Amino acid sequence: MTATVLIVEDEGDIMLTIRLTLQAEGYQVLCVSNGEAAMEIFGDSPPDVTVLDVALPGMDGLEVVQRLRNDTNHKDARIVITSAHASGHVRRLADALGCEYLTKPFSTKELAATVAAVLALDDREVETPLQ
Amino acid sequence: MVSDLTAAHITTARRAVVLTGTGEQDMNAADPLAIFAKVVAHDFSGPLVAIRGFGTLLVDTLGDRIDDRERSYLGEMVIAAEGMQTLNDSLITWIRARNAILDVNELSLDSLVSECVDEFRSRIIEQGAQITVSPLPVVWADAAAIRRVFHYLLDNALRYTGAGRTAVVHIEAANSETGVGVVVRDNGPGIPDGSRERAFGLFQRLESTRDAASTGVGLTLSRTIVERHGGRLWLEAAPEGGLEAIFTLPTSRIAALGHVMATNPVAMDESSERQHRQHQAALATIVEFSDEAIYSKDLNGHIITWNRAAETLYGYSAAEVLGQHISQLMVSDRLQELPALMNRVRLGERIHLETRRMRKDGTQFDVALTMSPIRDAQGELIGASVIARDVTERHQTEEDLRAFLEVAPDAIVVINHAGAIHAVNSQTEATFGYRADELIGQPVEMLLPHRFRGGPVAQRIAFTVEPVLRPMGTDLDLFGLRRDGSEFPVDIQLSTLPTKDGKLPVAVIRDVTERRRLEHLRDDFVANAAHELRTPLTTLAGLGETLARSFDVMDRADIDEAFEAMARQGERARVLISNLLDLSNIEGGRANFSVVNVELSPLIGRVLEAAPPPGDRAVTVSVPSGLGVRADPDRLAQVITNLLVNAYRYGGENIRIHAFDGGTQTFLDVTDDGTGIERDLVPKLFEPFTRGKAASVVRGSGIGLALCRRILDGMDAEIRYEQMLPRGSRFRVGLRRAT
Repeated sequence: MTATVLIVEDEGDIMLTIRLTLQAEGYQVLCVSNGEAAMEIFGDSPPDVTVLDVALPGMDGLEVVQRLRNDTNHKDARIVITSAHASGHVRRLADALGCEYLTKPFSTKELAATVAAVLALDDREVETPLQ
Repeated sequence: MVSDLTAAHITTARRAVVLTGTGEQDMNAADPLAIFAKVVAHDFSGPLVAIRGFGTLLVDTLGDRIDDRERSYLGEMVIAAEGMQTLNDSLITWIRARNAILDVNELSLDSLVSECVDEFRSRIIEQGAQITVSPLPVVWADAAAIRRVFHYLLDNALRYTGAGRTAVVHIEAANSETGVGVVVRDNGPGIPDGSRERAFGLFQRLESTRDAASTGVGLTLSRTIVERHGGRLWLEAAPEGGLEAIFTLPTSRIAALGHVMATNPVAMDESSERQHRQHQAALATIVEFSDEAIYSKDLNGHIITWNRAAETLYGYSAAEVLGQHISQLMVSDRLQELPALMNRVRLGERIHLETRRMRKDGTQFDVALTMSPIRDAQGELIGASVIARDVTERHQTEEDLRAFLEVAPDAIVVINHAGAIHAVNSQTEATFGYRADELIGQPVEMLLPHRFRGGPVAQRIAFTVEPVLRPMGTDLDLFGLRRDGSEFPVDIQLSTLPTKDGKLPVAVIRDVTERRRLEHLRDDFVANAAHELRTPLTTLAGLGETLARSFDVMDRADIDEAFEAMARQGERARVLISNLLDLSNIEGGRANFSVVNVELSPLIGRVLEAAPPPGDRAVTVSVPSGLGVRADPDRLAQVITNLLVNAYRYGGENIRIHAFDGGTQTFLDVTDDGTGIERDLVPKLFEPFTRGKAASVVRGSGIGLALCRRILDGMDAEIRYEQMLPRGSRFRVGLRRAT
């Protein structure tokens, strides 16, 4: 069965770039532009991987991750965080939350490789989320 | 005894002419303290010896006939008499020093001090004390007297070390224009501020240093000796604790001779009187032919002697000026100095004064005056000698230097050898918030935050020996401390300044708050610009890669969308870079504005054609035809375009462009009915890369409004933001009216 990727990205052209790249890799792709919409998708039909922008209007990407980690149904969700923040804080936070991390601008090869790697980890350990 | 009426050093031939007729002085009018001391010293000796002697005798002869209590009474009496005799001996020593005839000779302080230190050899070894002596100069002074001064000062320094401490004593000297200063520094407990001068009282001993062997006369005596040489002696706290005894001596033979002879008592017997006369004759010649202007006046201010150098300095011959009042030499606006000066002279004070005086031809000059009391044979004041030196040139140099310091853009602080602030310029006052008089004499460390005080930074500033101006070190984050307690970043350069007191450390301090702020701004700007380019670059590169790799498997609609997005992001990058270039050109002054009369209505028409509203926005224009402004038409179009595009992106559905004649200016408003701009962003609205939350959904270049502000500045126009109620934003551009 084709893996499903959820893209949470508020900037239209970035979303387009991610979508076309992952579609070309053969994934089933869902796109939303805010955290609330992402949580709804998880309620209906959880994706196999989520590519999540940190800077979102309203509920931001990190809040989305924390909610998922606190939800027994979704605590092991596989997530790739994207951020334009070059500082190490977001990267360390992503690590602590058991997420992969991509800094914008990222290459599409890098994106495809990261998503593939995350999907390949079947019995990945998820660290205790930060409170 | 007419010849005894005046002090020796003014005994020129002319003096006799002037003073004949003043008559003999009354013996009883001599200095009452001196007479009292002499009486005490000589007449108490006998009785004291008797009390002590008979007391001791009584103890022996009474033997068993008295009991222990009575014996102890007698013992106390004897001890008290012994103590009193010690004091009396000291008093006699002081009287002798005060009245001794001093003999001025060339004197090497080096050998004198080494002999003096030798006298203490056994004590030094016993105490394990350490005495170091820097090279000392040659002075003109009475060898025995000065040796006594060193003896007392060394004795004090060795005596008053703290309990359980080893005495470390250092002797050094520094030359100045007028003399030499000698410092004897110890590491003892020192004397608290406010009590140091009290140490000079006769028989004054401080509680903590009470010691039976000390009679408390040494300091008083030392001061008397130094003052008789024309110097001063005082105590200071040493920088690292301990006490510094400092005294000055003149290096000029004439000055030393003058002072010493003025205080030498007049000889009582024939042979010494003859010697005295010989002295006087020699001195008269010295004074007469001295290069220094030396004259004297009586207690009423009449001139009584006048040497050749004084003739040269003032332009009056002796005949013209003798018997005249001293005010003749004074500048009219300084005459008010005179009564106070004469009062001080009558009190027997020595006065150093810098003032202005006038020559015979009416020209004025800056002069340094040293006035010393003149006493007659009985020690009574009869006038004052004056040594005058023209310091106009020195003042000019100092004024030049001061003027130079004043125009310097940096705070300049000159530091003395003790690490205290010696001089500052007005930039220092402005930078640190202190008045000069609050700084001078204070440790330079007061200008540094506490964490630097006493550390290597403070040490380097206060004791720099840099011959040329040199930065303290660019790797140091240095801060200054203002009077109000606030800190600010500084750069400090150090050097030394040659002055009459030797080379003094100088710190040139620059407030770099503004430079640091600009550096931060620049860093932020670069970071922001890079940040703004991320989305276009991610999109262009990412979509390009995906298209190249997967074109064949992609939907037609996706391919079209990808190309449109690439075009859109390419344009966005172009606009950003073009705006950055514009901003940089305008800020760098490289942009040209061709300001002409522009009619607004057609210009706005062209702008709307080039940037039409998207389908969900509507623009209404109300601009009177014929309304014109002074502006660069292309630049103004750029501003209006920016405001319109902003309104399309962030504003409401309805956008209105309205222009009207506002009297002094013509106003152009771009108004929308959107949510307005967040209150906390408004103050920074026209700075680069300020953006609101809405901007994360729809992105512009981030520098549009900053560019508008710079463009309008360049055309003498302005822009401001107004929040509309109940909702909406208005940007109002104020333009110059057409001519």
